[in-house]
Amino acid sequence: MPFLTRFLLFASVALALGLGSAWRTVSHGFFASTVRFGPWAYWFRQGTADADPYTIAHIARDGTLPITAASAMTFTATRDSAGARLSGDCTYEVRGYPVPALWWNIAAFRADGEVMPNKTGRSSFSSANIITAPDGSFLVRLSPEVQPGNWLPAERGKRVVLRLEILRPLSPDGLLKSGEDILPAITLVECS
Amino acid sequence: MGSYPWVFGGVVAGGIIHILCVLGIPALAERDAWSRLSAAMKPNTLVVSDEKSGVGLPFSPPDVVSAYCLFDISERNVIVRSPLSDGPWSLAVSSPSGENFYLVTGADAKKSEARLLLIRRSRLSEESATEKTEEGEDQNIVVSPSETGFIVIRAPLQGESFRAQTLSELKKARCDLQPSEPVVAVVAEPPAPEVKSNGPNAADMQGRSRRHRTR
Repeated sequence: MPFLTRFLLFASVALALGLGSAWRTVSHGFFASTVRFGPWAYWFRQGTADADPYTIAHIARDGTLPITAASAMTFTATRDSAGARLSGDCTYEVRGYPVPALWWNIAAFRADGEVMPNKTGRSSFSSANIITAPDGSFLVRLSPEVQPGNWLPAERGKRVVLRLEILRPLSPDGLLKSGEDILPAITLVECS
Repeated sequence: MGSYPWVFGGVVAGGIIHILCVLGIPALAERDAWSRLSAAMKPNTLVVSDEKSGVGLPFSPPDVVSAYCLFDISERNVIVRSPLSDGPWSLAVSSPSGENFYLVTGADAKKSEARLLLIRRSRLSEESATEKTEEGEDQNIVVSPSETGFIVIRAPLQGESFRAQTLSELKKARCDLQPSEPVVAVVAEPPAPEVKSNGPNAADMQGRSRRHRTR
């Protein structure tokens, strides 16, 4: 094999592996920096003094300013419970029970963190204003079409990021142990 | 056999690139929280995030009104006053890298207003401020691990109709440099006894004085 081919092989492996793995671990996390509960990812050291380099890079890349993980838990979903990427062209049902906490909020954003423009001006629901069913559960519909109840308008043609922020959860350990049962499920209804 | 060492070398080089990328992102990021806010705000000034100010960060829920201050305590301490009108209101202090080293919520606070005195760790030994100001106000003394950082006040809205009221309440918050205190007394130390050749310079000894300041 000629030298140039070998060098190109070396460079391709180095760049693909180095850049690809860095992008993947900083954007989506891995076992040492994040915990996953179904579609929700939780960076468990964000905002803390012992944040690892991946978490620090993730925060810098996102441009966010998190509250310490000791006081607030922020869960991010870019996919539904079946693993498909969240799209502004589809309707999803986000169904769950309110998390016992001082305050919580569920909001929809574009992938770059901007609020999706919509005529209603609504892009989030919180523990203060979400409509719940008589059994205490809530149902949020994320959709580009008008929906009854808790409607989070989505922007057509855009990827959607859902963030669930929980300030002072009553039982953070319980959330970490059985987050998949406690956190809301995201179910695809239809795409149009 | 011929290409295996090159593949192995590529894997090793990939590992090095990975480490350099991850460690380099915070330093090179042009759209991190510090870069975004410092481009739009002056230090030690509190700005409420609204359409007029144009200040804001990504992934900020629209039903939370926020106010930001970039503090700089390299010269003097900073005093922060913030209303904490409701349980979920929070006042957070973070370093430029995003380490949130202090947080108080309305549910924690004994009063509906919090007062913080931000000081540098290196000035801690000479700091005489206490948790009671001369005016009798309570204040929390917060030692910052960095000379600069963020103060963020987050005020979740009860509903959209509360926005104007919450904004007006939030605008009462302040983030100011601590006024420089007047020197009230300069007490000279007694003259040092005369010393001969090997001792310290007598003129230097007599010239030393100690400042007593009140805060």
